[in-house]
Amino acid sequence: MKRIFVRFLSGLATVFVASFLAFLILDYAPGDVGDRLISETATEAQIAEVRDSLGLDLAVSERYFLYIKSVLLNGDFGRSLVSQRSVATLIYSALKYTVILACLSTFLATLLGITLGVWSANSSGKWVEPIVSTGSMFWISVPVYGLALFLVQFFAVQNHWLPVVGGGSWIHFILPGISLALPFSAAVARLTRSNLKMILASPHIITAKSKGLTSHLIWHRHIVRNALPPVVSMIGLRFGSLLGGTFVVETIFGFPGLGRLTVEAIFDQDFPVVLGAVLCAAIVFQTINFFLDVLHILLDPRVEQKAL
Amino acid sequence: MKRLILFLMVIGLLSACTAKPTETLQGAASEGADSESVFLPVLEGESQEAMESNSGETEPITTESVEVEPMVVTRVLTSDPNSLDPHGAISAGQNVVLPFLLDTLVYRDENNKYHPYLAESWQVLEGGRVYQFVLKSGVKFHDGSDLNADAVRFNFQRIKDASGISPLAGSFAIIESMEVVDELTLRITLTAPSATFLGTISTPYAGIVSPTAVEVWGEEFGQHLVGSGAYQLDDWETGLFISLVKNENYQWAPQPIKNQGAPYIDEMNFKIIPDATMQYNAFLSGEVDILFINDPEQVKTFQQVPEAVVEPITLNSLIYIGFNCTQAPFDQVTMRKVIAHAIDKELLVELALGGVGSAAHTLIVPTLAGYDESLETLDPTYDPALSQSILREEGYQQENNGTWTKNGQPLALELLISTRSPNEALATVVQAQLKEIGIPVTINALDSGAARTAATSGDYQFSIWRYDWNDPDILNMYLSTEMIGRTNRQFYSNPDLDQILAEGETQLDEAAREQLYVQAQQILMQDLPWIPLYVPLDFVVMRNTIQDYQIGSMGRIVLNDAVVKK
Repeated sequence: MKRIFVRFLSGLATVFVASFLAFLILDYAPGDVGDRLISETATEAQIAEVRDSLGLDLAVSERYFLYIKSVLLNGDFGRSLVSQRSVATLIYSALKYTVILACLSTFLATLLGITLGVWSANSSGKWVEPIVSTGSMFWISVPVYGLALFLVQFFAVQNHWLPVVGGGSWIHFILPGISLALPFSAAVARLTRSNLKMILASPHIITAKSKGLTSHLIWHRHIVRNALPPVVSMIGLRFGSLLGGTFVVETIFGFPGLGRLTVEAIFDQDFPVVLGAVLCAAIVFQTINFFLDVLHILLDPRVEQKAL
Repeated sequence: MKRLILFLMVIGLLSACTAKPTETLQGAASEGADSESVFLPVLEGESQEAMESNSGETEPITTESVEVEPMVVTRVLTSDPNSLDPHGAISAGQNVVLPFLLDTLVYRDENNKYHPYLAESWQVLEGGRVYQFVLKSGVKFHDGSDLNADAVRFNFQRIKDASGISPLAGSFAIIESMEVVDELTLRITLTAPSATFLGTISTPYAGIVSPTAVEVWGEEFGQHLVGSGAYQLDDWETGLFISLVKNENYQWAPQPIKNQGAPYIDEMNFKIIPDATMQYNAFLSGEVDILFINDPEQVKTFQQVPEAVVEPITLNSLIYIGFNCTQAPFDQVTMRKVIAHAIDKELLVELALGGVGSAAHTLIVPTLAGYDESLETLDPTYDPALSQSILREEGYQQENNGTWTKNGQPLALELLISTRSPNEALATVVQAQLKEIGIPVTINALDSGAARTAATSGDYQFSIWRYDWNDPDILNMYLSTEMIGRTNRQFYSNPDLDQILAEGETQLDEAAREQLYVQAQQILMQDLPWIPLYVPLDFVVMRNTIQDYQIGSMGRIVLNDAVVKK
């Protein structure tokens, strides 16, 4: 329990550090949102007036403090300096796409990856294993961009089965979901397979077999339990990074998720939006990490004993 | 037990994720419900299919309107405009969407002639200092409020007040006062006669919006634009699409458009697709019908697509090399000449653009007033040997490796560009051509905001830059002394030129005005703050089922007369 509490505090600290770092980097980058907003023909006096009203000439620390104060005291993430839209609304609408996409691709990847991993670990020597192991190597190496373009070419342009771009209904999630899930599932399959093979060859399984336990019992008690934790944490971490947004896939599919929101805001140097997005991604990631740790303790009691 | 918990957590997470969008979809559908419109409001997911199957609809609305499926046209936007407020900061894509949503006082056609639009007529009084506009009667905004002289005054004042942000604030500074004479008459007094005033108020950034809606929406007006245009805003899903439906009460299209009433195409959608390859794919799959292209490769690809009509449009643009005329070595005219003679523009267009563009030899492009073919002879010819002999006259010595030094200082240059296509390709060719005469060039590529700041503050030697403007007054904006530190990034100052350009701003006689810009170009071709490189070719790709469209000023696609036929 103590470990969980410490974990929580360190997660919170990480969120603050991430947001401050984002602020510093944004401040250090050349130019600011004024470049985007101020008209070419503005006079110096007008430029000064606009910059002043946006608070662009205050010190970094002061701007960060003002921002965090408004977030913590009023729960107000501010408004985009470019569109005047509320940051909370922007993030909510981007996050809903990202969350569905991340859940969908994680689900597909887990299902496919674990199935293939278990199957190939169980059938060494037969044709399944070489196919899964070289196949997974291939899918891990394929760039998402290429995969996405191939899928679109086949499913949307040639055959009109699915739409090329856009969002709004479940049908729009299929192609981006698969683009993200395939390389992901390959990684899951590889890890599952290598873990299982290691455990299958370990002495306690041989002992279990030789003392005559049923295969079902061995799998249930000894193999799955030992093989699962690393796979779960790998899936969890990748799920977390998917929730931070997947800029490339989002850009290709014209998908309005968190990744595109963040990158476009960075280009505009629209700092309330960038910070909101970074804070959101950091919180999501930390939350997932936190749950992963708890899950680990549930799955593998040894973890807590070690920690204590 | 523990695995049961794990299972429940996963299920819970998944169901939480899927619950939300269904709500928003239904919300959007019920909002779009319209009592007697010909099309049924559909869920977003279905509207996609509707778009595809309808882009081929034949019959004009006149026949059995209940049976006819709506005509829908979808255009690509590369990025979400963020805000549609015409009087706020400029935003990519805004200029494409705004002309559908709002009207301007006067209309400018593709030949730069002005026609009545919201203004039924206007009088130019007191030698060009006073404009008296009489508005059409019965014009209403989408929210039902009246578009009258008060509303126009409110709008123009709003642009003036947005100084520093609105792209037109500078031009609107010449409005000295406005007087509402009666319900439909507005009298505008300028500080001086202006040849550019009508041009200014014909751009979408001077579009008239509903004062009531500005008040109602406050800060969020940019998301809820209410104008008087042929279409009105229906739905806008951030980063995804903007959809407009036709304004059934529309009656006030400008003269050059045959159909003065509501447009035939029922729905105009704008889909945001950032990736160029996917824009192409979406066109092939029938999800979009119109897109803007200027990449040479893409132009060639689309010319192979049977259902695509590739229409050239002009944005009156020029790509040029601009020098920092206050920093060595380009504070010397002779050194600017060295560069001018060393660049083979025809080859540049061929190599960097695959021939999609035409070499430019004048500063005012052929589509603008003030262009004169005879000026082309003033353009320094491609003559690298001449460049080298000028360098020798200037006291440079050529080293054994071909480079030049003067007083022990090697001659090496830095070229500033923004990282926008095709600038990298252009810069590389310029670099190669200057290397031919022994001048090494490094390329400093910055993102557009940073490049603009560097150029405006004079922190560069020379740059590749671009203008898109609808009036030769661009020379005044980019090269007059007054604009140093703002848009005159050349830091070039010539009182004779200033005088001519100031006259050009106030000269109302067209022939006399053109002559002034010819004179201005003669001076500039001597002083060479700019070297014109080429006039870019921009294109709009239209699906061949869209008929009777028009292309207006600055590449505007006018669809009021258009129908979609199979």
